[in-house]
Amino acid sequence: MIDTIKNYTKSKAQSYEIFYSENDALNIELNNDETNFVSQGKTAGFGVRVFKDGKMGFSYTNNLSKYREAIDRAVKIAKLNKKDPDFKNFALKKNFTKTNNSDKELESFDAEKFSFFKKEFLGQLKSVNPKIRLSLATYIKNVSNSCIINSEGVDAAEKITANIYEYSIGIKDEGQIQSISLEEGSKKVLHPEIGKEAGERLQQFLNRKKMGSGKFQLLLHPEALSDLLSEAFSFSINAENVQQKKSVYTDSLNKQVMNKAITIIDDARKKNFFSTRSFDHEGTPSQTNKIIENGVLKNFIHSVYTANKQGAKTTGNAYRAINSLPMIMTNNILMEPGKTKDILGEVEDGLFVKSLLGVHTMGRGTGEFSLGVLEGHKVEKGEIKYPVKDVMISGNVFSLLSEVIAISKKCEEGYYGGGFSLPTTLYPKINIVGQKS
Amino acid sequence: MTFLKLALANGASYAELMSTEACRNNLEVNDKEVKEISSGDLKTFSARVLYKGAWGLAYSCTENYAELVAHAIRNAKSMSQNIKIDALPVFSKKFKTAYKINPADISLEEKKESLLKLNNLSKGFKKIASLKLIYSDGSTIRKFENTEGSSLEWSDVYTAFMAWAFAKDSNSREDFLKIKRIRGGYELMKDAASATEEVMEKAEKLLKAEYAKGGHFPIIVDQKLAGVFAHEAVGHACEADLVLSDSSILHGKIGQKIGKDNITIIDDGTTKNWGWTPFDSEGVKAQKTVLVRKGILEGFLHTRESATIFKTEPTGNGRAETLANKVIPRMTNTVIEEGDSTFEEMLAEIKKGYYLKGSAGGQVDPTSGEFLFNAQEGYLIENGELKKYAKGVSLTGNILQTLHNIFLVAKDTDYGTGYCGKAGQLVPVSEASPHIMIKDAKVGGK
Repeated sequence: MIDTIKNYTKSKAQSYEIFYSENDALNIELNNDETNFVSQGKTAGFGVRVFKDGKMGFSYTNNLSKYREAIDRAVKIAKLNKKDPDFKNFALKKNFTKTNNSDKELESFDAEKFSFFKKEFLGQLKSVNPKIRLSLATYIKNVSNSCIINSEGVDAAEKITANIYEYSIGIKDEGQIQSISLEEGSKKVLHPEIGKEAGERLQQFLNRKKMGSGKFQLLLHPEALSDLLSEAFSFSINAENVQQKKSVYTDSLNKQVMNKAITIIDDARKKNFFSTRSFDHEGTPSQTNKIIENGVLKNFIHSVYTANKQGAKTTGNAYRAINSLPMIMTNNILMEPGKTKDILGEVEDGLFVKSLLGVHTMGRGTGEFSLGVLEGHKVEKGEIKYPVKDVMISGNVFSLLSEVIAISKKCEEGYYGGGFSLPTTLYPKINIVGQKS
Repeated sequence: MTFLKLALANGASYAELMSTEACRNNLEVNDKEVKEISSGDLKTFSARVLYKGAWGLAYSCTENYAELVAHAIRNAKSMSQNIKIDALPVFSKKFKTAYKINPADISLEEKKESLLKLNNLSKGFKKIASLKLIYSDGSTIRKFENTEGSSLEWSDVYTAFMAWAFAKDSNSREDFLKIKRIRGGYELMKDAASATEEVMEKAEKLLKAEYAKGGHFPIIVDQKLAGVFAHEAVGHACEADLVLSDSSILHGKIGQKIGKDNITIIDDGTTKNWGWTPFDSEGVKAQKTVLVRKGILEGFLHTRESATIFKTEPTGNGRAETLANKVIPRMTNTVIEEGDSTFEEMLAEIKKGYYLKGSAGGQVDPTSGEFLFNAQEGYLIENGELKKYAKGVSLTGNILQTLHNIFLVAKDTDYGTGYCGKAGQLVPVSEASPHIMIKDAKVGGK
């Protein structure tokens, strides 16, 4: 099929790119400890970009029998587009070593195998406390085969397996349900032992208390840090936002933008991480790029287009579905560990935040946030005192990253939309609105 | 009907077949550059069966119902469940979204030119660093038939326009976003110029705004944010799946007083607003459902499955984002009914407080009832007057406490549109509300 699409495109435009993708997905939903819905489906389609007379055209379809119409449409659109002097070429052909991003065991993982996983997961969860329930959960597994062919000679194909498990667990505590929501993502079959960790985390969350308003130190759990970074930081290092002057980092390349203790890497090659892939969705080989080195901004994340526009090298950060143009997104975000062995011990009077409410409402361009705390613990003199309720925190992500006091030696690896490896970080006092004083 | 019979012959107690056929056009102009012109089509086919008390679904982008039915049954077989649904009367009808100007009659060329013209409006705004305009339209034909004999079709058309301005001066940067969406046609674009100017004015104005100070204050919430409050804080907690899994703070509270007398909240799937669904993803007819009447919790939002458990009628709220997703209870158009107060009366009540305008997003934890909303803009209120323009104003609190603290409800309804996310699925929704005044709200700022 791909050759047929390619040959027809070639006959219509000298410069072209085809992104073809097949997906085989399994979706399982759970409610009150029970599986109650299983869906499965296969889809295939392609998006095509043609560059003709200095102009770009784009179209897509999943109706493969009508592939000619989609390609003709792209050509027609190119005619009515404006000339784009910034477009130089589609991704160039480069040699690269493939990484292995599919897992045989996960590939054959089906609803029946999930039911074994679920049984063990529930066993682990209830070994902590038999009263804990899995209230709601969604499990998604996907096997994607994508393929990029362009007129520069790129012809790359890769199979990637992935599964994501989002779940809420709850327990009745003094007549009220207390619950926490968690998510796991991996390229391999998930381990049921995550149930035990989740149960223990919920157990520590019981008997929540209100805390007073005022200024307190902020200790961010890697999950909460990844939440904040995925909004403000990812937005600001995106070359498109930089070129459109929407990023705080617009004029900051090679300048000190955060504390010199911080080094952040965007890595699409780290073995077994969620966002690892051999090449990006334009066919650019995956890389390991230092974005922040000792607090200095070393690079932005690019697609071929944004890189050409400012004379930089593309970083392999293009993502897309068949029906979208390449978008720039982070791959795995890795922050280098710090020196602090016992970071909790460094906290005099603070709030340990594990999960936030309303993160997508923060100012991505400004870094300003004013958010609810979903899962947080009061910390005094290096010890966790009690879980808190009805607490709101506000501050600025970029200021926090400049003012960081301590970075833990231990990093946590996880998934939040993409893969991450982040330490626990401690910041100076910020505004916390708790109980009315 | 052949494939529905096939499903029954293979042991299903109920089955439905669905298809969607969508065409979509997208255009984006950013700072005078055309960033995107695209056009494409996507088709999906699905079969859902209830087999020995379990739901199984299969979908594909090719029309092969024999295979889809077989796969749906196979998927259902992997569970042992005891789900039942009460039979519904036959419902067969064809629906069409009305429009004044068919977007398909306007060429991509003309759509592009109009965006470029709108982008030129930024000339008059000195502090605008960037202006992004996105236009989108599309048509979808949705078909549904089931083993009860219902057969439905909806030929839908939508148009949407987004203007997003980024302002910058020597010490700060701000942005302001406005999105207009209708189930309808290109007539939407007659207001595009005023929307584009408004976002640039607001973004520039925000540069001079001061951050609000956090604390407990009386507040006035504008129509858009009050609508989002009704949706996030009350609507979600009324979704029957959350109630059933004991994940809603409103569980077991039907008939109880949960707010003041002045508050009535309705889900209305019948008005042809952005959240309109003439029939839901299970083929159930749209209707009005009162969630809260004069402060008393009256109803929940149901799928066929949850309605059967609650021994009530389904409410037309069983929605799925795509044919691949599970149908779950979702809101359509959420409405706070008008009261008898006015904005001026509200202002007069406040010595020191805030006026919160527009929604910059929100989230609720339905289990604990805790919510957070960020306003797009705000004003400090002093002695009954709007004083300093404020930014970074957010509202947090607990659903039940806040519903008891709604002091006044005005009679000046306005609408907002959006996409609601739940369990990884996005569906179009709208909210309608008048201004409301809340006493003793927890406001976040700097």
